[in-house]
Amino acid sequence: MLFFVLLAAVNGFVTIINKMINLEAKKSLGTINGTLINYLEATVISLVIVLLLGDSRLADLSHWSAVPLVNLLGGVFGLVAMVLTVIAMERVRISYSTIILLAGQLGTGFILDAIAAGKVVPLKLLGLLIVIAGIFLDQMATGRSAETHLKEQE
Amino acid sequence: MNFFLLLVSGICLGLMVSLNGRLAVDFNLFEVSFLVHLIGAVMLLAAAKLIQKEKIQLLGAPRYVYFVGFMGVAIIVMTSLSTTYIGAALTMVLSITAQLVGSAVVDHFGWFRVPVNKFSWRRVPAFAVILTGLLLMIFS
Repeated sequence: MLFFVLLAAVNGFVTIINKMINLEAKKSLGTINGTLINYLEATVISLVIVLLLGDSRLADLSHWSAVPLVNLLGGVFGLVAMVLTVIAMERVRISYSTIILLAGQLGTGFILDAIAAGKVVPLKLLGLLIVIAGIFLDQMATGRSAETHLKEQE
Repeated sequence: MNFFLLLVSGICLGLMVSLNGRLAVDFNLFEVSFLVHLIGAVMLLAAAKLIQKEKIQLLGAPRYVYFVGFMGVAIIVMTSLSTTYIGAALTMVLSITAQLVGSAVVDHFGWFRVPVNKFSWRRVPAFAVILTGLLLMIFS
């Protein structure tokens, strides 16, 4: 149990390091080439694991006929998110970008859940509003905008 | 402008998580990872050739950059394992908390060539409010 609690926390740290390395790849090779490294490597590694595990349904055309192709759009949204993130992260504080990303992601999750369930859970809405209030509080605590802070250092 | 880009990025992440979750009904974890990364790679190659007329150049970055794909797949495995054994809600809270702390640490020390932004204790109440909101969203 404790091992998996630690693993979840390590996962969060690795997520930040992963974003920073993507940013470094963008700085070194440009947005498209830098992002491409991540995507090409992950494609090959995932394929190798799929082949090692065996019993894949990827090449089964009859299985594909039942798959809603709209679900593949996750790949498109993931790419757009990655490109926009590395562009914006270069110009703002990392902690600020993490908070805005999480607020956008959880807010979208909240809206999708509400549409699926056909109702709004008031406590979830309250949670979202508290997160937004926290973001403004953080801006007030630092006294100036994250972007201005960086520009002054340049 | 950057706030807007990050917000749109977060919205895209939310949509991605939902759609990948639906794709996982028909395929296993690594098949989903293969499909979404393949789609992204093809789109990037097309953008490089057709839109930007950019030469594909993958060499020349610091060595550690080339671990980025391994880390991406490791994140998928760690998320899956944690979710299986301690549940999705606790996994999300722990991961988000670690992301908030981790990003403040990167800012504080200026790791990865980012400008140093020393952590101010005045930010702690704001972080506590944000975490309270996140907990409410995840557990309600």
